[in-house]
Amino acid sequence: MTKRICILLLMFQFLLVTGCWNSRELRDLAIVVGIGVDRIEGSDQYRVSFQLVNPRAATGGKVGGSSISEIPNIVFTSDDHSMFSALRKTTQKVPRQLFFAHSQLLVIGESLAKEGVSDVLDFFERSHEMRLNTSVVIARGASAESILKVITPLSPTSATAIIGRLKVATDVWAHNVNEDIGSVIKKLAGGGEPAISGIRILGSPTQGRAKSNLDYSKPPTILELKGVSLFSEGKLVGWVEGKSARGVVWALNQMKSTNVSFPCEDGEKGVSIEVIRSFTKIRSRIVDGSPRLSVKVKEEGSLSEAQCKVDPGSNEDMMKLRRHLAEETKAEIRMALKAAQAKKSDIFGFAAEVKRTSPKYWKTIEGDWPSIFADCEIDVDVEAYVRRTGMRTKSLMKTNGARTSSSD
Amino acid sequence: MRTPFISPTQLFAMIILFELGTALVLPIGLSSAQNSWLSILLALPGGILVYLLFTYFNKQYPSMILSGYIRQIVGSYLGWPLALFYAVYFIYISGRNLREVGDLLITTSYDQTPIVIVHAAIMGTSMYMIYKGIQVLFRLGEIYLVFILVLGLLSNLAVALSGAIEIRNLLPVWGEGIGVTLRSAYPNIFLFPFAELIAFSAFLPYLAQRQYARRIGILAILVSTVMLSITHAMEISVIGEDMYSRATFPLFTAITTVEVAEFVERLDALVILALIIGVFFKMTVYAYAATAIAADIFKAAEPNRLAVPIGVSVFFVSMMSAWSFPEHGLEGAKSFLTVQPIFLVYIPILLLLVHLMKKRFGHRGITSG
Repeated sequence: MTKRICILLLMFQFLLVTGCWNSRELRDLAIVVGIGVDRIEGSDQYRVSFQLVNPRAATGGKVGGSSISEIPNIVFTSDDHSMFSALRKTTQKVPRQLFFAHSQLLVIGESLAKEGVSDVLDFFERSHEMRLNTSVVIARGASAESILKVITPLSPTSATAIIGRLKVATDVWAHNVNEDIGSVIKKLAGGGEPAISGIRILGSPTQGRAKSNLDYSKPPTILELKGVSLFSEGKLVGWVEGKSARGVVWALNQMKSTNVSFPCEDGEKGVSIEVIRSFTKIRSRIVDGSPRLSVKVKEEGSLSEAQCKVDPGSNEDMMKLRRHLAEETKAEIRMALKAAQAKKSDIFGFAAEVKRTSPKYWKTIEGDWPSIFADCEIDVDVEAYVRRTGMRTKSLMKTNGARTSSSD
Repeated sequence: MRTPFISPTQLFAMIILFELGTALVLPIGLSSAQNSWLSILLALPGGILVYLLFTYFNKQYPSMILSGYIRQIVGSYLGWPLALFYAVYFIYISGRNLREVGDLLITTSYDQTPIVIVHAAIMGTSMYMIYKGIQVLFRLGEIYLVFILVLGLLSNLAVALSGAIEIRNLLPVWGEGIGVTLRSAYPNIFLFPFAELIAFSAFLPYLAQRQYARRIGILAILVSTVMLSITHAMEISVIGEDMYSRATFPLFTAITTVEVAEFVERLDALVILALIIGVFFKMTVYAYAATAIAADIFKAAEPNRLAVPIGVSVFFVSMMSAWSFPEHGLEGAKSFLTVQPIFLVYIPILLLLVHLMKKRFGHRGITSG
């Protein structure tokens, strides 16, 4: 009997030690939110930057009654040939163990992107702590390190600030794409080329590093999303901006909402339509031994602003709005396609589509795809609907004549 | 002396757990990654045939397990070593299963924990199950089937809701052609996990309502095939063909990309749970089959006592069979083409032929003699 009880007690101790072997205490961890990778010029080493959350500053408020707030953005960097080695090397500078499960952003330096990014991605794919849905941006005209060092308002770290921009701006303005590591890898592996948003510093990077950046109601140094990358054969070859960037978003079927404006018939003032829903299909078929690609968009919008006479009561006016919306969309997509074809950059994933629908044909042209894509004919077809006109029907402007005559 | 006590529901549950086992989480089919979901479906008829073969043997020799009728069919001198080989083979496969779950756990979360500890924890439990006997194992299987189904439902729902599924990733349906798809179905997927049902030959004599054995078994194989096929189709449609073919544990990778409303994420634990449950039963079934054969051929008075030596063998095989996980995979791929078909296909078919000939000519021999 005593023997049994002893055994039971011995077994009981195992309940207490579960999870001890791999345990990591929160106070020993440094949570990494952003990672930056740059190529050091004239060397084959990478400069890897880690942006850490400062737990004391991130909790906000006045800890311990002192009013001295700490800087929320802490960046450590290390130079090495491999990502992992740089990561471990950084421990010489950080008192805690780097913890990556919460990293949200990967910033790639422009110079590295120009040489190709696939080499550094293996680490992110292989590691079990990294997440494939970490967003990716490319630092434009600056190093990834300097982007991560900028102190930003409204957000504890610049990584979360960029993530916030990516999410909101992609959803409502749609001139950027929110691409994650997973889909970058998917595309580099044979489904075309990645389309990654650019991020740049407006103002002085040196000033942006200091906490004084937040002492102004209009911070002198801010970060701005700018453009969508064009890659060719895994290397950054250019950028699309403005309307062509939005065309890219449309073609990628990532359009959630945006504002499309076009001038009234008689002047530069305009009409704005809020696109609220959009769905894009890209297809390919082989005609006479060469691929014929097509982009088909179906979208819905509502009138959000009219600075000239619009009368929703008239069917004619509503049809005009529809036609304008469709034409504008089509034009932007064409601009995007043209820009991409000029750089032989299949960021739309036509490659994956050809591979799916005509695997045999694909086998024969696999290596030449970028140049074949550049010469391809691409049909664009847009079907647009304007469903609603907001809280008013007719616009404030009664007649077109009133404004023109007064300006005479 | 053999009291029948496995209910049809319990058999149903155990076959599903066994089939899902490692096949759910590991890449299967070795080649033709794109449409392995189709290959799984194509391999189904073969799986049903294997199962029918063993229920047939069970009908002919109702109270015997594999080692019993091997000796009946080919005689003791040839049958005894053959049965021993089967025991060794089952130990080896059980060890392989253990290695797979151990390596998944270490790769994904317990990166600092030695493999010995992980394996010992699982093997200890498994040994206890074998010691407790068949009835406890099957009752537990019934309970855990519910777990697996709920886990599967939850994770599939989460994946569907997250919008990560791109059905077009499954195109073209026939991948690189019918030939490649069929080749990955036969022999690869047919052998793993379908022909592995041979392990159930150790349990069939214990069935309570034997008239249902066929129907229930086929139904279970069908259900598990559909579940496997859907899971692998889901994996490919989420992570794409390229990543699917390169991933160590595709299901795990697919699940990590799931994020519903920035709230439901990090569902990796579900996958790990599913694998632990599935593999636990699979390896225990194998280890039990090995124990039963060993007890039969060595005429052990108390078969339960063999749980320890067999369990310890499985434990060591699991760690010593390969020095790295890639080597483990290579070994699996090689044995698929060489050793495994012998045990899973050739010997059973030969047994059937010899049995049929004996049945036909055996009687005539007696009457004429």
